[in-house]
Amino acid sequence: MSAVVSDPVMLAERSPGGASMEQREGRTRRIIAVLRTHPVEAIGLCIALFMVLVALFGPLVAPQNPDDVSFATRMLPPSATNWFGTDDAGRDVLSRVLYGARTTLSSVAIVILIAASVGTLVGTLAALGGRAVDEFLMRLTDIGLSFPPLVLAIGLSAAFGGGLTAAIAAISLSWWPGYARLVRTLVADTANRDFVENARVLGVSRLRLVLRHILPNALDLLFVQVTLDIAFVALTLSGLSFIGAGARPPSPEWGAMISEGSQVITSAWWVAAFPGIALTLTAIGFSLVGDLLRGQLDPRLKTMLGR
Amino acid sequence: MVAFITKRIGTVVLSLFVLTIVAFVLAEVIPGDPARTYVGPGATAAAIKAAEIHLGLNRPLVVQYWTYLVDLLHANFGISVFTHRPITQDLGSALPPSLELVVIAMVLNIIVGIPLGVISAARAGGRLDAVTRVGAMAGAGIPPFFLAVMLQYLIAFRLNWFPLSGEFSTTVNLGHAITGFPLLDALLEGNWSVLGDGLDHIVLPAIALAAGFTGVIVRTVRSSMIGALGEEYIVLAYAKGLTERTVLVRHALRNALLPSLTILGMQVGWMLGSTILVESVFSYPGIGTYAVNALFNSDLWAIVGIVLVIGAAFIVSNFITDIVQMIADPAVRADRLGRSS
Amino acid sequence: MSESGNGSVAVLGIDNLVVGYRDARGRIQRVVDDVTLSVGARERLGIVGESGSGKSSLALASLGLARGALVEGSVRVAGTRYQPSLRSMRSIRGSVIGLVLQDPLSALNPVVPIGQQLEEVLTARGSSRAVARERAVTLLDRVGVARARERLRAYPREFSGGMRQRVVIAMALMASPQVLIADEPTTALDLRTQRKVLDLLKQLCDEEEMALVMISHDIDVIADIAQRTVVLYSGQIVEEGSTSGLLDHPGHPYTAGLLASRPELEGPIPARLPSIVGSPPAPGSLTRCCRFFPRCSFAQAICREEEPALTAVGVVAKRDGERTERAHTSRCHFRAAMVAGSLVAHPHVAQVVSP
Repeated sequence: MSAVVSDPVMLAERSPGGASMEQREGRTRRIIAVLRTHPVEAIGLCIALFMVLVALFGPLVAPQNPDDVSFATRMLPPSATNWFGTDDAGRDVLSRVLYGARTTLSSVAIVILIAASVGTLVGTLAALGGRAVDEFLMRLTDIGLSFPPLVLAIGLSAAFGGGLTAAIAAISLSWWPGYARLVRTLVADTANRDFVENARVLGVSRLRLVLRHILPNALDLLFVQVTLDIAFVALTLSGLSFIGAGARPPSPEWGAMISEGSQVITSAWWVAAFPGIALTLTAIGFSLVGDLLRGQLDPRLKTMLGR
Repeated sequence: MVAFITKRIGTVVLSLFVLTIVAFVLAEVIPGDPARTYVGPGATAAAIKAAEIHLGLNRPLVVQYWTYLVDLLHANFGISVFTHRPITQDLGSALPPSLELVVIAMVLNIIVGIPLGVISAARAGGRLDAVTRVGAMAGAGIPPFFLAVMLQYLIAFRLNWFPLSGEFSTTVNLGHAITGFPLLDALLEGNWSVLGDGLDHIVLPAIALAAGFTGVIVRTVRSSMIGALGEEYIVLAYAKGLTERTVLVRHALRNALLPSLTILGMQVGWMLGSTILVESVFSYPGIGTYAVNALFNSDLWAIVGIVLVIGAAFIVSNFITDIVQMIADPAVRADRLGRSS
Repeated sequence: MSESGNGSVAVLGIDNLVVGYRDARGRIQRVVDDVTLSVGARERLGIVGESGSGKSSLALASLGLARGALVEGSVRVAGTRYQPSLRSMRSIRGSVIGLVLQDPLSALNPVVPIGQQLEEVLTARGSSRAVARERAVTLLDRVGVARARERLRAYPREFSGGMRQRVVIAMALMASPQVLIADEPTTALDLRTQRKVLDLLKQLCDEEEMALVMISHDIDVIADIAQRTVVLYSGQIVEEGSTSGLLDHPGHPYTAGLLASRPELEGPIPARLPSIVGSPPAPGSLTRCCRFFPRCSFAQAICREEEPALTAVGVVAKRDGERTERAHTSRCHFRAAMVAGSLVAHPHVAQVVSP
């Protein structure tokens, strides 16, 4: 007879300790195959990874200090010494763009972290907490979703006095309802599946149930949403900075840089152009990655949601 | 069905109510000392105190909220601290140009987005399709404000194809205001030169505003079309000897259009909000520029007024889209009514 | 050969048709492998084959409707030769050749009233709405849809499955085609309705003087309605001849197997339902041998080594130097013995053939 299995439910879904070596081997090959058949998305992945690298290491390779003001070298066009030219305060645009990557991407990361955490919490509570809790939380979420994020973020950001922190808080506040709704659906659907029922019958505690069985399955799809959201949040964040409700000078945030550049656009196009291109590429890159992931996970999504 | 609509209206009213609370909370929390701004630089303590009383800032919170709510319902949004005019009046003159901008942008969205989506679906996998998809991706990825800046620089400044900024040229005689909507008034009066001038000025802002949304529409239409084209009745439609054009438009698009229309409806609200990012670049005198100025001047009541107006427009347009979708699409109807939460 | 079974000019001729698809690795797999057949005016031809035999691809490709496929060969319609592509065959679709498909549920556009779907066959060709409408009403009446004129405004979902299939048939007949291709038209229907629809098809072919190509996996359906039958296996024709001849004296083991696998309505209930073991080979997996070899109860060594060609069984009768009777052909090394009934089966041993 077989030995007593400590956690028989795990046989139905993937093991908590990570995939076996054979599974990892096959997975790598599949990933490469997918990338080969989707060249555009593969390029997006490269762009996204590149941007992350820039965010992490950009400041280390930046030729100059982004805050070095030098009126003698104002508004110089791109050249060998200043690849992206200088802005109206004589600062090297390339260095500012490199530092800006870190500012923008880390802010985006924080927003998504907050929004996703809060959203997951609310969503899980709603899905597992019984009807009354579900009704209440979902009503709250519905109301939250019915407000335009940008305008709400502007209002909130201005309320908190502007600045990058305020903008981050404001966007997080407008973003969590979306995650709450998504997580609620995912958790509710997973919770109905057989293997969870099995676990419950076997006496697995509720918390363990949630943490080890339900959430890991929902996380895949959550991750897809996160990737898609990176682009949106980046655009919203820099939008706020652009109109003055977010990062403030002399912070090298891309939106703020584009705003400064727009003042001198007719005489120094490069001041606005390069941060803008960086921002665009970031948005496109992550959108493509999100698309790719969604395309891969969609069939699983359908079977999971039983449609 | 009636129950559903009633419930939905209930949610809308509730949302609007919450909106006013949010607006009020914003107004109370904004630090940029409105009394001081109202009085201006070089203010004495006494003047600020007087301004505070004048603006009603010294009463208890709940009372202030109630007064605020009552005022709102009487279309009194307060006085702007930087224009010194009633905010309702400011909004009244700023809203029509923005609405016209949104209309023009939506028109562009539809006449560019839907055909591109249809054609790229019909030629799925081909070169046109690849180009369109990349274009849609790029359109959706470019920040609207960056696109606005670049359009202004390249098209208006460098190529001189369109004016740099503003709503009309300064030399233009605007005629009478019938509806309050500048372009519409020019149209109604038969004032073609003014209409042409206005359209000239609205093109670049409209493109900058619409680009991102068009990217989304192209992809939505394309994917629903591809779905529709895979159905058996399409094979039979061809088997009847219909031309490709007829099959695409009369059969496939009919089925594919509904989800796209829903998204278009939702986009209206989003577009109105996005005017904030685009108008100021062109100094287009709409609600976007007004919002940016209000932010700059820390005009709390004005900002709140904007949040209210755009927020309400968003809520209402989503509601209308929802209802229209319910009426028009039997599948959605079954889904929503079955799961009445 | 431009002649068909009864000696008249073919209204539809398929010449050396090959239909291939690219698999996941980019290689082309043939689902229809060099098929040639013809249908005469007012003739009823049956094409029988399992799923995977290529029969649906054959039907669609011969109308230029096989999208995503690579198609070679040509199609002759009323004397003119066509390349089977979407564009080149548009003029004959609907007007010369009509099509009826299997699933009435998805065959009609759910958001368009059936009247419009019927009328547009003619209005697309320049006829007026009024004329088209009259024709639609007439046809709906003919196929047995009650209160035809009122029902024009109805949507497909308001009809039952059997009724919907009748509407589809009416739609295919709107422009008075000379030949109707019906791909599994009764498969999605219950037996009672099946019977009615088959009778309807027979009746319409007679009244409209129309040829019929009936495609089915059910040999009983074919036996009921077809005068001549083609048996398709793995993209190839393995037998062709008059239906009655095929039923009485099949010339190919596959045909024999199909006939044997029909459950008997009379007699004792057998311990096991007879069936042909195994399943059709993947396209391209068997070459240089008989494709039915792995499943054949009569297989010999030669079957493994040499691919049989489609050849006539027995002598071809000629008259005045012209063929008057289409040969009974079979793609089997032992066709003569099969027809004579003298071939001995051996207990089937699963044979694995390396490609």
